Amino acid sequence: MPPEKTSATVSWRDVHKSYPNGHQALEGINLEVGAGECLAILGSSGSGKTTLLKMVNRLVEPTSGSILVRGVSTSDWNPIALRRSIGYVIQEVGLLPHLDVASNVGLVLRILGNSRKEREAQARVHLELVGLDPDRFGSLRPHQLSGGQRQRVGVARALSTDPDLILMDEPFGALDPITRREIQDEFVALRRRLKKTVILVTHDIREACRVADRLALVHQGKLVQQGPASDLIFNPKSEFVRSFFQEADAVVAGGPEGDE
Amino acid sequence: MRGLLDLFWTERWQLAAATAAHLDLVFEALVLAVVIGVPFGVLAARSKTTERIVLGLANILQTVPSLALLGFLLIFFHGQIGKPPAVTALVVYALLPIIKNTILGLRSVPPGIAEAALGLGMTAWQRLTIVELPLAVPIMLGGIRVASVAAVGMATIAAAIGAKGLGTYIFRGVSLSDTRLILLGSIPAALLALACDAALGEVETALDPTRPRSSSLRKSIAIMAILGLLGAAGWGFWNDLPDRHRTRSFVIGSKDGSEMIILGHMLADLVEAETPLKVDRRFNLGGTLVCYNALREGGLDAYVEYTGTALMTILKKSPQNDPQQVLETVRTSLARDAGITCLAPFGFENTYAMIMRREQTERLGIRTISDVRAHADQIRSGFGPEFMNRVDGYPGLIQAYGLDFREAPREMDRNLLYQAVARGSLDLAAGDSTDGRIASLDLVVLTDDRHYFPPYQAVPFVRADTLKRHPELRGVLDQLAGKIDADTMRRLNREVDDKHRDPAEVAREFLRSLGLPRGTRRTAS
Repeated sequence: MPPEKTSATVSWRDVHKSYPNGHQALEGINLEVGAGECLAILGSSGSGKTTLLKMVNRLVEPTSGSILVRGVSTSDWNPIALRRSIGYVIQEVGLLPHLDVASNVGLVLRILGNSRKEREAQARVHLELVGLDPDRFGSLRPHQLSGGQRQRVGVARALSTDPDLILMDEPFGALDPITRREIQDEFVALRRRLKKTVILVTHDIREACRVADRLALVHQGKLVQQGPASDLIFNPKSEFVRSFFQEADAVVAGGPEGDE
Repeated sequence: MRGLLDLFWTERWQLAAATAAHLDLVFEALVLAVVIGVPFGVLAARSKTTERIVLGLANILQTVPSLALLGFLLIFFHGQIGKPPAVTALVVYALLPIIKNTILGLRSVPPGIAEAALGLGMTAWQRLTIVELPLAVPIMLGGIRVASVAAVGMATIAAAIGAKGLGTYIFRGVSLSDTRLILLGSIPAALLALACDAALGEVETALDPTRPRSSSLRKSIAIMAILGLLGAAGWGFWNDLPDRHRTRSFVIGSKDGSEMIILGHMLADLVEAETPLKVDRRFNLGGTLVCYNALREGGLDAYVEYTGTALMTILKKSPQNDPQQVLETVRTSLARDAGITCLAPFGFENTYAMIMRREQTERLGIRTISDVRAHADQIRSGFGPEFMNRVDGYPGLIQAYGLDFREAPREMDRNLLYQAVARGSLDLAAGDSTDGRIASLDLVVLTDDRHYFPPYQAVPFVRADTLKRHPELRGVLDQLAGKIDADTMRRLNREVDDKHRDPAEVAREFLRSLGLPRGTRRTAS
């Protein structure tokens, strides 16, 4: 497919994904994320939302259709170069247990070949950015941190090369409700300051509403509705969207937490 | 127990050196096995197919019986005895746990970390070196730990091909029926295995970032233990080095058994005292073919062999009954084909002797081997591996006498046969006619009424080119020709087997009674 001109940072063009066992994971997804925007891909487990995200950094290849990153089809990107240009935060955080916090933050710079000195300097800057004191935390091992601190380190690592685009896969899913809320708030503040494009995958409606500019609801491999949270809540296009957000009413009204 | 402590005290320095040599074998083998095994493990972890191939090969190697492997390696290394084939064998056995745990370690990287590594844009090499290998290290160390414990045990067997180490004590003990020597070798070996296990276990803990730190006392003990083990291995390595730099020494080997060791010491003493050559004694090697191959290929300069054994096991010819003719056949063939000179016989003949308990022979009325036939259904027999497989051994024996044992014979180390018969766990075994234990354990030699066993003469075998380089050796080694008759040999064997005397001492004493060694350069060895 010839790449159409687009100002979007990421766009999915008629993306299909099916597996050899016949499972149809994604069907005809068309979706765009503008520069500086935060898109939340929302859906229950098995909806295909994570697959959609992993296509952006080529961890998963589409069966048909294309994904453009900064106007270039991912199939034309060298996967290593593509991944290095994108920040990536996952639920398991994926910190290396044998390296200290500072080295974990400097990891992307290390694989890019930056000097130790540069890595240490950047690690300090980005640890401070996520609210961790580099002198106190820099030399600790990941297992000595709390879940929230670990996730902060994960975010610092994703920011360490100052990428314009960050992918987040259920980044706050493993945290307790209070910590999660705290980090979400910090994240929103941080994003406003740094003006990054962020694609966030979550099944937590409350999180999507709180953090994202726009939501995309995925169900059984299809994009059901996209738009600002208020659109999905107050103008649902289908019964499914309505029922999906019914819980959200309770959430928005301040109902009990703990939907994990 | 008291005897053991005394022996320990007199042997303390040799024992320390043997322990160091033992650790050196183990350590060199482990280093090589890691260098070879880890890359194979990395390859195997990439795909199921390579894993099947690599693990399959390592598994096959693992199942090769140790003595068979040592025998093969001896030929592979052109008869060189000692460290090279021994270390190679240890490497072969260490590979499987190291490869297996490398695969296991690489595969055990948590999925979240693997995904992060990929998603951050690491190349395959970066993933391997920055993420997978470091995370696999504790599990890989577990493999090295298993391999090290196994190698400590296995290294004792390497004494069969002349490797120094604690196995020399064990083999000597088995061959001389001396439990103290066996303990002297096996207790330190067991302690070494425990020490390696504990020390590497500590390293494992220290390298695993998620496990609680050990106390500093424990840590310093572990560090000292590791330094001690490494230091000892280094000492063993150092001890083994000089051979290459100094003038080449005269290497005398011997098969197992008191007789062979006593004769070996006699020859060694003579060469040491009457020539300027340095003598290296490699006794208790594992059998005829080990000694013969080592001699032919240059790993040994001399050892004592029986003419009949040479005729059948080495030259693979059919048995003959005339001792003189056997000697001539052997002498001509070996000189022509193997560059080996047979010197003059010592003067006694040794042959296989079928032995039973006296009490049992009297009860059953057995005097000759033919008499056994009538009781063959209730007699439990046992033989050494060599006897089981020689044409003039078991196969020929049952044929010649029409024996039909109901129970298949037990195959066991021939030095253990005497005790086994004496204690009643066997009824019939093949021993050596000159063995001192026949008399001391009150065993009876059955008459070979069909003259099945040909008489064997004991003869020093020497490399022809060694004799050419040092012509004076022939005269020195020939001094014992015809000096030892069967009675004398039996008496000397009894000193060792029965009275548990040091074979070196028995040999020296006998030489002195002959007024040997000549000359003034007498040194106590």
